[in-house]
Amino acid sequence: MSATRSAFSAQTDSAAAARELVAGLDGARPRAVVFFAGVAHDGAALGGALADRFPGACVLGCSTNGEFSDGGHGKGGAVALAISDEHVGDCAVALADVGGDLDAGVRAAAEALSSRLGRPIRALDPERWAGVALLEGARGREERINAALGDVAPFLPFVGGSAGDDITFSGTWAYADGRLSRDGTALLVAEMRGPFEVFKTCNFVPTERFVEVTRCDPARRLILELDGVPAVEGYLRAIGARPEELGFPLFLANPLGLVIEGEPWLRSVVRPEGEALFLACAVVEGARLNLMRATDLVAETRAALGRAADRLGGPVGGALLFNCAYRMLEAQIKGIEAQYHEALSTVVHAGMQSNGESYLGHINQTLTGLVWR
Amino acid sequence: MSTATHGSLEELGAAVRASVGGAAVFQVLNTRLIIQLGVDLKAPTAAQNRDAALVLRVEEALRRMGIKLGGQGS
Repeated sequence: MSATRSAFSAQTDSAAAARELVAGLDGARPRAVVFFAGVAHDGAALGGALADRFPGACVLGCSTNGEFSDGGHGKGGAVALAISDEHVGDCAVALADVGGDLDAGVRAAAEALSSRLGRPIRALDPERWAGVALLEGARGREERINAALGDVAPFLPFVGGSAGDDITFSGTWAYADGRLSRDGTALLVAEMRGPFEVFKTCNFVPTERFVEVTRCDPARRLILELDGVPAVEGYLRAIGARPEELGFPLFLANPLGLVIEGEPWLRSVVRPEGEALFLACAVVEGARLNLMRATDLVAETRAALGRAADRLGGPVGGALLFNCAYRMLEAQIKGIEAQYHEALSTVVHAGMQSNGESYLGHINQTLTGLVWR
Repeated sequence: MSTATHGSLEELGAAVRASVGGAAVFQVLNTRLIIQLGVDLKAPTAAQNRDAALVLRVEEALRRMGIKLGGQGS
């Protein structure tokens, strides 16, 4: 039996959901408990119930666009993952206030983590330690939060996702350290006792063709020009589409990819703004963005988990997952949600449909996470 | 006004490699720089390589991360 346990609740009442999560994790002896819940839930009630039941564990969570686990998936309910002392040794949680001076908020959280662990997090060995970040996800600050995390712990990659709010971008919440914040980022640092890795996959592969960002406004996530022409014109020309086709289906099928060491870091188009393109992620001037070719969402996810198992040297024993809402929508539009979650459910897991994903930076249209043997 | 202490991104990249040691940690830093600044220290473009303003921006980013160059370790 896996030492990692997941629980699922479709309840929209927070007290009832908390009871089901606690019951679902019965018998677990976790060092860390991560939960995800619909944005209407009382995150403090859920986190408090889990912290009361597992007083020795680091408990953190955030709001979502939907929750999933190997026990079920839905929207407006709650899931939790209990990671046992077999997999995690020392760990610490903190809640970073990112609403004011963002850098100071992340620094303060890093100092709290370092103090609780008795050693600076920037000195932790990334071969043995993992970082998880549940980012405030409604205000477009994930690039700055990721950069601030890199400043405090440049060698310790935090993997995670942007909290969701039913894709309204009206407000999210995060819980850690016994507190709930509507403008915060929950952080977990954990010593892993066995093989683990950051998991990152998407169902797109780079083509040989690319466009260059010749003018942009990264703070507003706008591309103003591609290849020296207005961005909308450059994008349509590059992907071979007509202006009347501009819209969500076209954007969903044609993300752009920053390719690093052969791996794509997707940047999704959200909408045109005049002649500019508004993206779900900032890009910088001079960036070369590859056009991408779609692959099968379910088959690629299944294959990616298989590759992770190969690298780990055995079956994946547990996974904490952050799935882009665009991927959720693709599965819904194509009618393959059941197959998609069946593919994920070959491993014990819990996850959220996120407003964006994080690993060394902000990413779109990707499945990220932490997996262990 | 600050000026860059390295003459090129190639020179800066070599200093970072010497400072941080392993290839894996260098790749983590380099990925952060590519995402944040569009600079690949492993393969800077000809146009970027001797852009003093860009070299300074990368040096500042590394300083914020606490990366000490010149054989001082990190």
